[in-house]
Amino acid sequence: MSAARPHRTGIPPLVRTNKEFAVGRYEWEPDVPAFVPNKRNNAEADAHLQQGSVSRQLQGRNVELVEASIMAGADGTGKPVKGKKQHTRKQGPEWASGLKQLYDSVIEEPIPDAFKDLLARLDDGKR
Amino acid sequence: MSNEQRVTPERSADEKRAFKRDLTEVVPHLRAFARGLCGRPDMADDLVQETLLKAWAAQDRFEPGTSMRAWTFVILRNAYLTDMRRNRFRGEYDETAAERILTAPAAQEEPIHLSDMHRALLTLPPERREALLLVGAGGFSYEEAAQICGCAVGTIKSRVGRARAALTVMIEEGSIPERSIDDPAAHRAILQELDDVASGKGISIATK
Repeated sequence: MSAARPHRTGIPPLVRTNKEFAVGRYEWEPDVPAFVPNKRNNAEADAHLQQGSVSRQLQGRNVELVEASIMAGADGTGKPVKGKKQHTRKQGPEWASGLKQLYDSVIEEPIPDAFKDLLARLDDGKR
Repeated sequence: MSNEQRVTPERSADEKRAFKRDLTEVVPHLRAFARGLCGRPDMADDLVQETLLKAWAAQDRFEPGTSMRAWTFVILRNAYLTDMRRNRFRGEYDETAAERILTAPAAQEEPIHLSDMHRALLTLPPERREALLLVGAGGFSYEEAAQICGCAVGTIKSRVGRARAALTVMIEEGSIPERSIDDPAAHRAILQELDDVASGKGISIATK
């Protein structure tokens, strides 16, 4: 038992300040600030939860960052790849960007004439 | 099923023009999705043309203001599954075209060879491949991808997670098949795909 801690029978009442109302602190405890959740982790969790809506907002126009995040593991499953965690973090974004690049390379191709002809025929009112 | 049929008024000329404009805008996305699904550029374009015709014929069922891209993706997906049932597409890999189109820029640090990426993608089971394409490349949210695939959001998340894990293992361990048709792993994936189609899984309704 610490000599500084008072005897059980003499336990002082909780001292609560406005700032630390929910925490409670004994007089002998060091004057430390109340527990504050790790903001960085909160931000990550928020991004994790909201990535779907973020992706929706982007409407597929510029989603590389979001997709890299998803492919890196923030996919909402909460299931890391067993035994490959370090490698996954390294490899995930690399091939994820490859996947996006593969997809975008097709999007950026000029539309073949066959499609233009087909769309023009649709314009004629043929159903 | 007949309850799902709705009577909608004939579209005006302006509405048809707007529909056609929106349809034109999604063609590149349809081509990219189709290429990812079936692997062959020529067959993918056939699939897109089929999708455009079906979308035009069903335009009365499209609700203006909703996502044309999501709506047409459902049509394309269903057309793909139907064609798979007819053994038209087999996830073949066009190496020449892939080499030309998909090779990563030389300046990229630790470039991943995109033809490897494409081959690996084509060996994934179809439901995981399409989930990865929709969410990881197409920019759809999990909710939108779930609507397109006609399944629960959690199912899509699971499929994306499993696809991600499988690709990571393949690329890390170098176990990417040489040819998607000749390789046993790819062949198993294709057979599984046909089994899934034969059992009627995954056909969704292109109404929204």
